Amino acid sequence: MFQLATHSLVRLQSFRRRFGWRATLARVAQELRGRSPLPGTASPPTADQPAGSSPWAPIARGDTSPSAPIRFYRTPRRNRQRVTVVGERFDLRHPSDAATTALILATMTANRLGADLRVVTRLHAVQPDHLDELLQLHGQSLQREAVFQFAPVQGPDAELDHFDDELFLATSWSSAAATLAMVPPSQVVVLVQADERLLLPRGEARARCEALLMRQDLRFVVHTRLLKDHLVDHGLPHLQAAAVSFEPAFPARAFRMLPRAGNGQRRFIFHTAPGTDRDLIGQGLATIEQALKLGVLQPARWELLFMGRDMPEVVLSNGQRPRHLHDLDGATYQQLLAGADLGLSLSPGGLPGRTPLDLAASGAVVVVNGPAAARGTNSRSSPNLISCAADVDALLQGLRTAIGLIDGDRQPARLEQAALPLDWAQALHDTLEHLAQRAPVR
Amino acid sequence: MFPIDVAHKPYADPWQMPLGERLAQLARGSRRVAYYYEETNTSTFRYRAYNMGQVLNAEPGGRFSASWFFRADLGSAEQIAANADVLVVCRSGYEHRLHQLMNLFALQGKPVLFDVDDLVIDTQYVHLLISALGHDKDSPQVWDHWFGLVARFRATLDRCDGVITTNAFLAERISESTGKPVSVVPNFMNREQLAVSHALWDHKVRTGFATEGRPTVGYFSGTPSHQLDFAVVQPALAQLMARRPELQLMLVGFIAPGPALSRFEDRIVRQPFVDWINLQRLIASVEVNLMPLQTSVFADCKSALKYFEAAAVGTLSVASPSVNHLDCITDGDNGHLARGHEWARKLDGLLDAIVPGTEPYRRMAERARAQALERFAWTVQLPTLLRALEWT
Repeated sequence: MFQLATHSLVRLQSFRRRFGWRATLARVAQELRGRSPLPGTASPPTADQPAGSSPWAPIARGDTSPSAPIRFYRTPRRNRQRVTVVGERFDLRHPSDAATTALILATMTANRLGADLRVVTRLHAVQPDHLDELLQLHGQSLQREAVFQFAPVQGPDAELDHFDDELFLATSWSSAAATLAMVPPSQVVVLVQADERLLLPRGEARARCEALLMRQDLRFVVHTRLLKDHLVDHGLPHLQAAAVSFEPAFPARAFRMLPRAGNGQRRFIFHTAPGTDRDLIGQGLATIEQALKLGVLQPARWELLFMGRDMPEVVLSNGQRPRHLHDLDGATYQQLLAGADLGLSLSPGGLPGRTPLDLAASGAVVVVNGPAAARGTNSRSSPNLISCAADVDALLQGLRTAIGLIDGDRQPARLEQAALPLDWAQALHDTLEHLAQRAPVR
Repeated sequence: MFPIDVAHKPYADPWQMPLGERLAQLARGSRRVAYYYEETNTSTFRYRAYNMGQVLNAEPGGRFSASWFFRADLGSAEQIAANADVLVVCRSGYEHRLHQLMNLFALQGKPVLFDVDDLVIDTQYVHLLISALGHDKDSPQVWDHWFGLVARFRATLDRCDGVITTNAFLAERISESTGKPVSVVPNFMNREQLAVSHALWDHKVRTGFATEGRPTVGYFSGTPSHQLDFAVVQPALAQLMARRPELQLMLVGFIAPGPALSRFEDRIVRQPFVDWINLQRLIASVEVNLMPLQTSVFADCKSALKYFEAAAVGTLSVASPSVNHLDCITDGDNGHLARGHEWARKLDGLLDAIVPGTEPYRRMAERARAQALERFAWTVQLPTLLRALEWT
């Protein structure tokens, strides 16, 4: 039933005095029919009660892709500084690949700048305690506050505040594009952890990705020197000067090798990075089939585990159904790696991401599809990585070499020989200084 | 939960008095202050007008007196002005009748002060404010209302000689925005609130902090504007309730559990909004008082009243590290601070500590209570209040 609040009656009286009875009655009738409030008579929201229905027509979204603009509005910063890391999703269940590095870099940047950390995602909200677990696993802590905001590309527009001097760390080309729509480029740093052009089919998205990577007004931070060299050699020469690179760290508390029984079963992990195409996965599976057939991998001796979200469920020709692992918590992941001896990890472009390096840091010998320059040799990152061409013969030969190393009883020295940085502070020191010197946060 | 043996008290607003009595109360002191608020409520009015008056009127010998007045009293503006030496306008928007009251004081050379407990005096924060409250930004009424309201508060403030507020951080924001002199009188617990809190505390001590039934965490909301604050802790609550089948959540007031908590409906105890006296009973019954806040300058301006009201009844709090929570809570000493990603671990740790025995909990609760009474009891506020009124 329609009811007029007391103050509405007062307004009505005012309206009547101004426009007369006839106009007032007409407007009341209109109100009763259409429920559109009389000017000045709508119940205002109270301090604690939002207004009711919206008389503004809804505005449809033009773009629902992950690169759709994030709607920001400026607000005074006052006491708080902030670093915002933006991504489509940060899957901190393992293997987390790029998410681990992104969030540790973001956390340490926030600490370096005395800032809060804001984590913004577009496709999935982050479970806050996963960040807590990740930081504990890596021996890191965030000194200021953590804020998690979900700005979905579908559904109602989410609008986020931003400060004039906030630093944004975009973790993909699309999150960079989404941020740059409403944030000046001087505030945006793009973290590059893969050659995303290789993950995109030819078309508009790939062209936009390439155009973004070619921008001269952005700062770039590249995960591994190997990737930076690749990008510079493949059409992005400006990154030689515009980008800093860093190597990831593998704290000894998180990545350690378990002692093995001399004649115990050994563990083999087949991993594919996100975005690995089906052909490459097929090469990996064919290599494993061949290794089983030729006795390079003996089923009685080797436990086969498959890891990666894009990995298909398979039954091998000998009837084995390898166990699939994904969405692992930190402790389980750590335990799994600590018991691993051998890995085969495939990634687009042969640019190893975080997971094969986690394996290597845990003492496993890992065969990777490396870039041409590194093929046939141990990687410059770690002697526990063996780079091969992405064909069955080369990968099989890589597995033979790796097993030779494992059987060569060099286990106790494996972790030391992994030659990977153990300390994040050391690994990121130069990058953090670079960001701090040029950061808009003051 | 902690068993409560303090009976539910029938509640009546203690400030309900006829105008004549309030004027008489105002007139009897040597130095007299009139508090103005548009109409009574149990939040801002209670903390910023009624409680202040209680402190001044309690001073023996009739040295000070105070009373409170509302919009409905403005027909008697001349009597109010004649019987007071200072006018404190609490968070009220500019309008013609209030202007007349303020003008009467100004013409008589009597100071007029503005009292405000939130960052609602500068329109450059309105966009953030509307976001923090979770209002419908596609409604022009929302924008009209908030810009109008904040501008009206500011217009009142601009016509005042100085400002009183609840904490140093908010005082800085007001000072930088207005250039006015700003003094701080914190929110605090009044006589009635402390009396019931003492009884509840005494019972906990007598029973050795014994608990019964399900361990319970509570969120207590006096207004519906805290839905997004509560959302900060919901993922952690969902995770803990999944892992701890005995854990119960108590939600009091205008708050709704979000989708993450919907599957635990049978372990969520919903209580309607209760008066501020009996609210102390509910707070006393839970083991953990949740104080999540969204991170913003607006939240940093909020006082820590939820903390000291829980501390007074021997209930420990876990709070977001906002400026004023940091000012009151030393993590692990008299409560816990949880950053956005730490809620699950901090709550888990506190619940673990409760289960085997209550001794560590009791010691922490004792420290929290002692510090809360030392800073936030009505009995210790007079010197601060007199300084704010420039009566010292």
